[in-house]
Amino acid sequence: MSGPFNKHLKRNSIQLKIGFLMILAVILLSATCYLLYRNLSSIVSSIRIDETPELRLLSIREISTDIEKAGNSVRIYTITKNPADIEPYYAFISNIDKKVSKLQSECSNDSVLLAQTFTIGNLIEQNILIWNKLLVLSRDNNVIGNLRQLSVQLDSVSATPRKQGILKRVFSLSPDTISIKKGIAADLEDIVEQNQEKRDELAVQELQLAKNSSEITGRFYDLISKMENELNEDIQAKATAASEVAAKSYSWLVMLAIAGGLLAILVIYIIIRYARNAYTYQIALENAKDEAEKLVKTKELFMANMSHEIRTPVTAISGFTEQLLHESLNDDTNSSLKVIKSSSDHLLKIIDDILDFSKLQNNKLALEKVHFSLSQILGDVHAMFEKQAQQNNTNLSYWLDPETPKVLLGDPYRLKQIMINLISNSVKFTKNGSVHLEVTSIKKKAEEIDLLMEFSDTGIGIDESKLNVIFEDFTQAEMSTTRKYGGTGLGLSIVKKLVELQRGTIDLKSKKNQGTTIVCRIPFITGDEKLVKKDIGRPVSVPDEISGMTILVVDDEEYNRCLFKKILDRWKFKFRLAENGIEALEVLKEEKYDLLFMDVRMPGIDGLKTTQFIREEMKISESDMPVVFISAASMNEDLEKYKKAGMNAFLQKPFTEEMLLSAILEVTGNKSESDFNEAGIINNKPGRDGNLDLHNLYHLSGGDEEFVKQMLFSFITTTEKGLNELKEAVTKQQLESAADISHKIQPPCRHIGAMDLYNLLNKIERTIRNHDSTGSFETLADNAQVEFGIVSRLINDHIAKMS
Amino acid sequence: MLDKVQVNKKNITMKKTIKVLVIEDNEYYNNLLSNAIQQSVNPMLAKGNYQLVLRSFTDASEYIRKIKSKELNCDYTAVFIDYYLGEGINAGHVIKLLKEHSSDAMVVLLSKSNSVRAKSDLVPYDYFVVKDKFAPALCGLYLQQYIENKYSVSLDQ
Repeated sequence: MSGPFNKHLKRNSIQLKIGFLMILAVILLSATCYLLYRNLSSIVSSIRIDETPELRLLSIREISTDIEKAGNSVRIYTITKNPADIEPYYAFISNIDKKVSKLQSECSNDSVLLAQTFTIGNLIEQNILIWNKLLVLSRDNNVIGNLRQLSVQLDSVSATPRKQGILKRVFSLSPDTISIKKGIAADLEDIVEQNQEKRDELAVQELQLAKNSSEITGRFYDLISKMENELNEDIQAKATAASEVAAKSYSWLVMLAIAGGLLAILVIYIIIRYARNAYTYQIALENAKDEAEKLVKTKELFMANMSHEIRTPVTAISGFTEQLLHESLNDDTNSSLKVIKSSSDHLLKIIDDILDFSKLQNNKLALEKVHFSLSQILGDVHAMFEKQAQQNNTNLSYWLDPETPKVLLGDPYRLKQIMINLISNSVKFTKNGSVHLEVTSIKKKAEEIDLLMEFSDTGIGIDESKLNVIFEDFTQAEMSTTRKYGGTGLGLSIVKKLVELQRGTIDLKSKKNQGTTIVCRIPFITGDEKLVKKDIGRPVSVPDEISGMTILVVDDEEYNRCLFKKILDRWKFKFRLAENGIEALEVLKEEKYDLLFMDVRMPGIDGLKTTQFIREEMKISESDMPVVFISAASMNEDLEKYKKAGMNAFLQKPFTEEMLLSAILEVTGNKSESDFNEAGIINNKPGRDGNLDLHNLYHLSGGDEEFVKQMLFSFITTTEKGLNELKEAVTKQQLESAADISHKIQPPCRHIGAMDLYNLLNKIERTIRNHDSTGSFETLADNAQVEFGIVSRLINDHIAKMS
Repeated sequence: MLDKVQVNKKNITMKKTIKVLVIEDNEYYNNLLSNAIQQSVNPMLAKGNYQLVLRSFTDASEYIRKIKSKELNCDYTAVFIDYYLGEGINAGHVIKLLKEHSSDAMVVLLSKSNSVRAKSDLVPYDYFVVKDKFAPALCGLYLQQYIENKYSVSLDQ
């Protein structure tokens, strides 16, 4: 039982496996895409950073420019002493201050650079201090300059005393006091000296300033180079990082590619394995299918065989009982015989049911299409169950709507079977009640009607819960039904299948203990009254015109042969019984018969083959000897095959006397008595040639003239050789050998119809074998050679005609 | 001497092989039989499930020699054999030999006259055919029926 389950699991697992691998592949692919995207974007972003100009370098450059400009302003001011010229200096100073602090903030993330910027800041501060000192000194210088101017003025005498400024007033005590003048001069000298000192100091300061600014510049360059170094390092680091990222993504890509490749291989492997497995399963499935078909066939064969095997003895029982009933014994025996008859008929019916059922199941049941009388069928069915109903104290009745067409076209046997099955059920299950069948029709088109049959009874009914299972195979409403009422449980199932086969419908209404109503609706075509086969009421008396005929019966079953013997003896026919096909053929070679009854199924050569042989090889035509096939199987599906084999009529076992007679009448109906004993088959077919009859050879060749020619040549050479040997043996008095040789060459002579030659050779053989030494063998052998000369000439002529 | 093998050449795989032996010392009759046998199985061959291997011999002593020297195996479906085979050999010798080397073949014994039937009690045969004008066809019929029964092909015809 693990088979299908396992397969299902495996099927699932392959789907799971492939699904899982696909999902894995998608994940792998998206991971690859994501990694690629990330690495690429990181490479791109590092390149973007490198492209942005280094702001700090710019700041440094600006600062140094500003410092230079500030220095210039100071220098210009010291020369011009114009206050307007000092203005830019202050602007630059504040700018520098801002930029330095900005630079510091920019370098805040790097401690080395930060320290450097602080140093630079300090140096710039020193610078500014120096510049400020210079400015102060330069302002002092101005005073000194003024003073020098004043002293010069004082020295150049006081021609213009009125023109004295504040300083003059300060310094000139009295114009006329030379001593004072001298004192002042001394003072002035002092001042000049001081001035000289100041100037020295200024020079020192300027030197300091120059030193400072050079140091600042140096520091700046240092800082710049450091920054540039750092930047370079940074760039290099970024490049390294980028190449690292690239290498990493490369290795990732390689890994993913390898993983993808492995995945693909795995998927391919799984798919290949799956396909291979699927192929194996397919083979197994095909084998299983073949096996199943074979089984079905075997089952069919078994059913057919079994029903045949069972039917045959039952047929005999039924047939012989019928015969015994004719030999009217005492009433007691007669009633016993009637019971035997009805029981065996019932048994046959059950076998038929089973056979029908298996045919219906395999859709092998073919429907007949004949004209039939509805009232006749109803009458038959009614008669069939009337007695049984009476025994159950049940009233069986039927009513046929006069509006219904009297004759229908369809399968009367199957319609009857439906009625029989349903009414037998009703009768079986109804005690002390009534069973009624009402038949009406609904006209659909001009010639098409729906036949409505309502079967109602007041029987035990069917429980509502069982209504839907009642039409299933081998089902009876109650398990106890079989014990109590018997039956195979196939009846209703067969009815349903039969109704459906005729494109009808069946409905069932029932209530437990209140009876059952079944309504069947089957479409039929209106039939023609003239075409109804009247096989009822024919008296079992043999018409005079057929009483002289001869009959050959071929049947392997002894009881059937006995039955034939009994009937035919009573009818005073001339007949012969044969056990099998071979015997029949042997008989037919010797004797002629007017009619042949042939059992279809026989061991050895079956009836079909035997009949075929009779028709095709022995050339006994249908008008010379009609053949009636006998079989226990119904003829429906094999009709074509039978007809092809040469059958003229069919007689189903078990048969009654009437059936036998009607079969005989059917095939001899068109014959007058004079036909029966008319002799001979006149063969005027091509191939008949004077002393030769090549017809057999032609027939055997199947139209191959080359073969005929070859055979004729072969005949001439072998026969000539044989005759020479015969002559030699006769001359040497080797009589046994002569007989053997003659024996040997006879059959070909007979085969090509060289009967004179054959007779001569036969005479030689017989005479020798009988030790009849009266005849001269030499003369006979010579005669044979002469005869052979004639035959061979005829053959040569024939060959000449052929080519 | 005649020793020919006729093989129906259709694709050989998966086919049931019908092996038929014909021993008849008269060349004419030998040909006749072989032809009838070939024709009788033709309809079956046409369906494609069978192939026919037909061996025919005119010289029985040659055949016996070959069997004894194991030059030929004797696995046949059917054997058609004349009773008198010349040189003092009759069908009984050959059939005995065949049965010794297994072979559940159908044996059809042929003879010109019915009188052989009485003689041939010792020879195990399935059918006896009198060499009349129906004999070749009858041989074909026996073969046909035998194959049909053996492979139960008639069921699906």
